[in-house]
Amino acid sequence: MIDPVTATIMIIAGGVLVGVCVHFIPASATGAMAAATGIATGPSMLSAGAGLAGIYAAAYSIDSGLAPVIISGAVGSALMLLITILCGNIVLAFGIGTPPVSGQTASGKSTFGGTKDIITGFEQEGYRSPGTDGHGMPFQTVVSGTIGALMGGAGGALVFYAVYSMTLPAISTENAVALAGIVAAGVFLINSVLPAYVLVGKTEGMFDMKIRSMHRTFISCLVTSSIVACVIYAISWLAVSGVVA
Amino acid sequence: MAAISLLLGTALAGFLAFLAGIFEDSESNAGSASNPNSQVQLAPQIGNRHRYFNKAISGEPPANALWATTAATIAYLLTAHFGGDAFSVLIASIIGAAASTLLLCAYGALSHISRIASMKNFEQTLYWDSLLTPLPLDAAYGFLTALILTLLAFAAHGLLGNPFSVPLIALFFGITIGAIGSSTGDIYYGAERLYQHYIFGSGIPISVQGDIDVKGEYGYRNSVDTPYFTMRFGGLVTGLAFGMLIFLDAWSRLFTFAGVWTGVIVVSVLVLIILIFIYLLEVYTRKRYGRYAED
Amino acid sequence: MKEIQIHTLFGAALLSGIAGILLIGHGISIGIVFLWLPFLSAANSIRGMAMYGLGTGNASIGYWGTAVGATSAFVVSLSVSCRSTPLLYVAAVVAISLVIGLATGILADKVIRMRIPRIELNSAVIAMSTAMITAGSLLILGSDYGLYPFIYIIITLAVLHPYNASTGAGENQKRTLLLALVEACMTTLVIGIVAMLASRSSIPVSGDVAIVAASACGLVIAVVAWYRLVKSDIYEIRWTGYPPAEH
Repeated sequence: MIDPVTATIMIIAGGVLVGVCVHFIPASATGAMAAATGIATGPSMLSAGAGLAGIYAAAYSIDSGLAPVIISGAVGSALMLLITILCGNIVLAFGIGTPPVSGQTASGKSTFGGTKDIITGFEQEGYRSPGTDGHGMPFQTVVSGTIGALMGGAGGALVFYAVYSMTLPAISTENAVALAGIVAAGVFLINSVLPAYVLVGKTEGMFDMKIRSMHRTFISCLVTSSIVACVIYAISWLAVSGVVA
Repeated sequence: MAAISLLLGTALAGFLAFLAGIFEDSESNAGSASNPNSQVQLAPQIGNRHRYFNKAISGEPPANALWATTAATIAYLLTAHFGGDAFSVLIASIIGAAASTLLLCAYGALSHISRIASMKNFEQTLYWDSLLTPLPLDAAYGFLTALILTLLAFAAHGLLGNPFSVPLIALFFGITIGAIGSSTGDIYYGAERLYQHYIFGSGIPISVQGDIDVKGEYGYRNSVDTPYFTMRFGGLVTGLAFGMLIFLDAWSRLFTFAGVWTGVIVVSVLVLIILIFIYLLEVYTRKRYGRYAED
Repeated sequence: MKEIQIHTLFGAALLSGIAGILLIGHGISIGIVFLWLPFLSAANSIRGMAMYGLGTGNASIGYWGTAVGATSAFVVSLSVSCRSTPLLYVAAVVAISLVIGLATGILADKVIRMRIPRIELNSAVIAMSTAMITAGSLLILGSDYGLYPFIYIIITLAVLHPYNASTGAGENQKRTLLLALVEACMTTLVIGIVAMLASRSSIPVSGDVAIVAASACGLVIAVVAWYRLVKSDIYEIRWTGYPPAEH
């Protein structure tokens, strides 16, 4: 168990991680028409899916302490995201007939410049179907998405464990788990929508220029999750010390 | 005993999740939900007046979470009356899923009529039969999705030992399956089925978006044909994704070689293996399809 | 056509929501009908934000706003009992969701620089309205933690769906709000049915029956009114047929 002040800091850190992770996960709504690089759904929706899968995985190790919870949350999220990317690429390869290609990199507008995949060195120019902004998830965006999912899952699990240990003295274990789960999901959903405003519904992960506006997400999520964390701290303090109205 | 229930739970959860994925994708395609609904919405504006059913809930994750959570909540409350054995869980889940299907029908019909009412300038007619023919099909897939996600939540809670309550697991599964369904299976609907008259092997340029296929093999196309087409590939891949996620996640907890870290180690190895598969697939497609002639 | 202002609608929703919660708190569960106005006010504010080109972001705004409202209500229920001191509970919930909603709105405006007029006001209104609805539902359903996910998600869909369903060039506020009323009635109907099951008695409690009856009546009236508007707005309604051939 951890003390309430550390738990409050953990909620703030978790909220910020959740916000920042959205910048790393490649997602684009027009991806559903194979018209843009990234997983074919809105960034905040996809991050919510991955993060909640992480919280679900983290819940299994709730009795083993802080570190196993956070790491199982992180890898649970990464597993969900990678399976989604693999199957999305399978649909694109065999259902649509297109190779994965990064639109931003192909037009030389990625963070590091050049028209090659940073990790595999594959040329991107020319593999993009005419009139589109790329399609699928090429390897560099996969790596970026994995980093993002690890952060998101860890953030969700941090909030989950923090709320669990703050409320445990006041209510039974079963109820504490249930409340921590829904509050962690709530904090995740609050923080994952803010970066979507910055991204305007489309990002290619850390090789997209939009990564440079991450400080805005950072500040916004820091303030929002600080307020949420203080509220949770105050209320659970009231509940634990027996001041129940 | 615990080991047998874990083993049984893993097999059952993987199987159920695979089915849930197929039905979820078919449900969203029958109703043109999620991202491709923007194309069905856009079609009348460029003169393609259609007979598709447009359920128009653009957030597939919250919608699926609602069907699953409603069914799971009713089942969770009913099992308190009936008792907790397998048969009563099944009956309670069926009643819960039936109730959430009614909600799905109501939301689906309201949005189809509303969207067409907002299309007055583009002369889109509301054809009652193009709403009433696909609605039962859509509701049937929705019923199966809600039922299976509820059973899956019971399996995860009871057999696999997840500490969350059944409705909360159903909420998580609903949001996750919606995210997976809208990012795998929907590509096949949005980029292939709606645009079958464009040649295979290309994304859909932004300039032609909205120019969807409105004619079928004969006559006008309706949404009943859609799952018939998409279930043969897009639905199966969605099922593969969700089934693999639930199965591998449960499977990683069957081992005990490294104490509390076992699951983490197994999942990390799986993550690396999937990364290799993604790399190999990229290499294969680049070699197989090559460059586009003109860019 | 003149549109209803955000302030007017929210002011009415606040008063009616508090009245509804006090009625429910004193055992008159039919007071849930006063929670329909907060549904309308939340849906109206989602419309106000999503109108400015958010597209599929509509759903995200819906679940974000409900997450703020519902999470505040869930957390507060830990220490302030909603049953014995409903007024204190509602005050705490509304205040907390006001702070979080307003803070997020201001950040989205000033730090993220979203070009959406009145984003801070709309954020706060969505958060507070959904917080009131959550508080009312918690009062009716009791504090079983297993029901929290259901309360969260059913309110989410009811507030995000009206604008999402009506999107298009011919959308207008009146029809969207009437659709919001239809969906509010539908939601309270389902909450009433779940409350019957949650009461764990073999005969349904009369209060829960009253909720279902009132919601069903409201649903019929709202659907008729909404369908009348649809008929006046729509291009054409036919039983079957083919679109006029162009190609």
